[in-house]
Amino acid sequence: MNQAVIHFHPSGPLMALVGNPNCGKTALFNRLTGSRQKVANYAGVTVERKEGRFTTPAGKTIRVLDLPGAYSLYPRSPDERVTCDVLFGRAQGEKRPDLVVCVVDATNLRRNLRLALAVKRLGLPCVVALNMTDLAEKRGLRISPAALAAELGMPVVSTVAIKRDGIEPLLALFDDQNVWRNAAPASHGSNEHSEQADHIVVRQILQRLNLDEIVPHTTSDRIDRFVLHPVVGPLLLAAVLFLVFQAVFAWAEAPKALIQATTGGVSALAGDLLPEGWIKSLVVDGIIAGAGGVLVFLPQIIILYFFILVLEESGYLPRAAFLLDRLMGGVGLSGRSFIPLLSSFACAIPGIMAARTIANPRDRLVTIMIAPLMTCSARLPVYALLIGAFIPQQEIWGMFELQGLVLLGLYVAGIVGAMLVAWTLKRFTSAGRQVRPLMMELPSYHLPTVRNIAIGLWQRGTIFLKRVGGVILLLSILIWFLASFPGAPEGATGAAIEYSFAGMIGHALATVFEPIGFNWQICIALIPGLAAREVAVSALGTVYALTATGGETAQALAPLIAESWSLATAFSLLAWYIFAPQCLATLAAVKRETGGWKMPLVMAGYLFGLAYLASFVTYRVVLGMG
Amino acid sequence: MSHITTPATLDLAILGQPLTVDRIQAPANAPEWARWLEEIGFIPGEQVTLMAKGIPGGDPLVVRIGQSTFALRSAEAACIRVAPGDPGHSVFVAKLKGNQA
Repeated sequence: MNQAVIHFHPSGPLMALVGNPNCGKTALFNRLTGSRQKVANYAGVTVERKEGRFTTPAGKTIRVLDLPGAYSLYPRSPDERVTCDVLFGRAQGEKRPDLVVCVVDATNLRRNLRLALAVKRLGLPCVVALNMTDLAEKRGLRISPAALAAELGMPVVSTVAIKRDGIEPLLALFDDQNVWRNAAPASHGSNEHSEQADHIVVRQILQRLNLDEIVPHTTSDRIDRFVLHPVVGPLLLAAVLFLVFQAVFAWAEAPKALIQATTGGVSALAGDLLPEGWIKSLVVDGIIAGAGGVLVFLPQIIILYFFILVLEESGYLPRAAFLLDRLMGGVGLSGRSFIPLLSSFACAIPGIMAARTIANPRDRLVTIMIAPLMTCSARLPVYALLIGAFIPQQEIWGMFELQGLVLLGLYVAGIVGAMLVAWTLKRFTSAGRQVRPLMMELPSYHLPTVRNIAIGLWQRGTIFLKRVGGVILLLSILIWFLASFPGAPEGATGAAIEYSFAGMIGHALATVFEPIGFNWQICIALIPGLAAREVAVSALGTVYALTATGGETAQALAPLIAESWSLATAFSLLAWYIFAPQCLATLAAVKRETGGWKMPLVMAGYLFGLAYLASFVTYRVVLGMG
Repeated sequence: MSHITTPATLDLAILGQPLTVDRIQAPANAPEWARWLEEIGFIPGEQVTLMAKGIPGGDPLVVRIGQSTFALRSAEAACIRVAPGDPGHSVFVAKLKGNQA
């Protein structure tokens, strides 16, 4: 994305796109700007700000702001408030637009035109883009832009945002100087206008244009007969969710392995080229390992977002949320939270980024906060080590494998923990007790377009690498530093890490963790383990000064810890890993998604508390049982 | 369809029953719902039909309002007082019901 040009040329005319949700506004924005987009947040809020630029046929460069979709100019969510503030010229750090393009869905003028009337009253130059006219024509709606323009008193052009030549009339309009000057007089106290009054005006216009008849959505209704069917609907949903989960979990494995192999290759190469010493260690164990640790998240993020974008664009995602609403409602969330939480079983980071699809800010925050409690795949190596070392391989009741049951129990404990946290927030906070309405539009089905999905994926990928990747890399280097300095003194007998800052912190923490049964070796391993949960396994190998590497570490470790740790310590550590914030990358993603360090700190604090409590109880109970 | 009685509020409607919005009556603890429902199209006189119910428990609901489709929870639909639909509307709804049967 070409950011620099926008950054260095903030002058020039500014146009804003405004429209109801699902009117095809973002498709129009993508068609206008292509890849020349910049995604950031609005000042002080976590609402996504999308700006782009394009050139008119006459060569004029225009900046364009894709404002969040709104049903009216009375904000009911932070997103809609941004749209209002920008249009009224009171948004912090934002210029009031020079021209507003009101995007209306030609298949639903009845609702969409009310917003156009409200925008016209703002007193800004304004034009109407009659979008999705191809679909309207398929439904037998022939709308004359000229006649509609005469009725509305502002220019109207028809657009088909999903077609290459579908926006030419709109582009040509931007070269007409009158369009930039002609504004209806601002009507003060425009907020006094009621929806009902505007609705009557719209209906009168539609009656005069012979468009007042309600046209059934034949195709969409036919699809909905399956999608919303009491039996077929949930089955179809289960199949879709299984596919998404399978894809995030399994399909990402090959690209992840490739990234890990490449990182390993680059490390080996750098290791050969650089002389022995701390610089080599920094490059190989700090920078290259850290960068690899960032890139390794990309496959899952891209695959998850691919499905989310396809489901959202096709119109299925809101229907899935409808079907799951009751299930999630019990703990005070909406159906929209389900997919982010489901994908958190693969990895919390794509899950936290997917929480962006939840419109309600409170539900979104709660979803982000409980996402790390879903058992991610990085916990599996730790679980495998401890279960392998401490749980005997035996069948119980002749049909269940004990080791498998313990693993299942760990998954269930995470889910129950998350539900309890969500329920507690619903029950004991004022925002949780407040009734949040659903009122969710189920748009007509559309075929997703490759172009819009490609642009969406590109944006998610670059946002992750730039805004989250940098933080993860820095934190990885910090952890490398803690685990590498100072070096072991001459004649030292223990592992080098024991004498490092990480070792000192680990020894100090041993007092804190003594009540939950952790020895100092575990405490040290938890520190490099902050880089990623599975790193704790190799870190334990380092602490116990094992020479084995890679997959052999776990094999060599299992008998060692089985001998030197008590059963209570092992169970305590398992309980710890269900809850503990042992992943700095997750906290970095939360920082990006909530726009500050407050929420990641709150998250780390509450997860630490839960983990300590769970480990304490587990340790004492197992000790008590002898 | 004369044998079908008109329910008082939208949440009590029968699937496919042609109705019109009479007025919006928001609950005391959420007065802003009246405006929000109006914004998405629940305006007196508009044609409204209950299209589907969620499972389990018949909540939330899928509602066709004017030209749009919205999912509402029962509590939200209960704010919408309804009146019998107009005959022209029922033709389309009858067709829709025929499809569903």
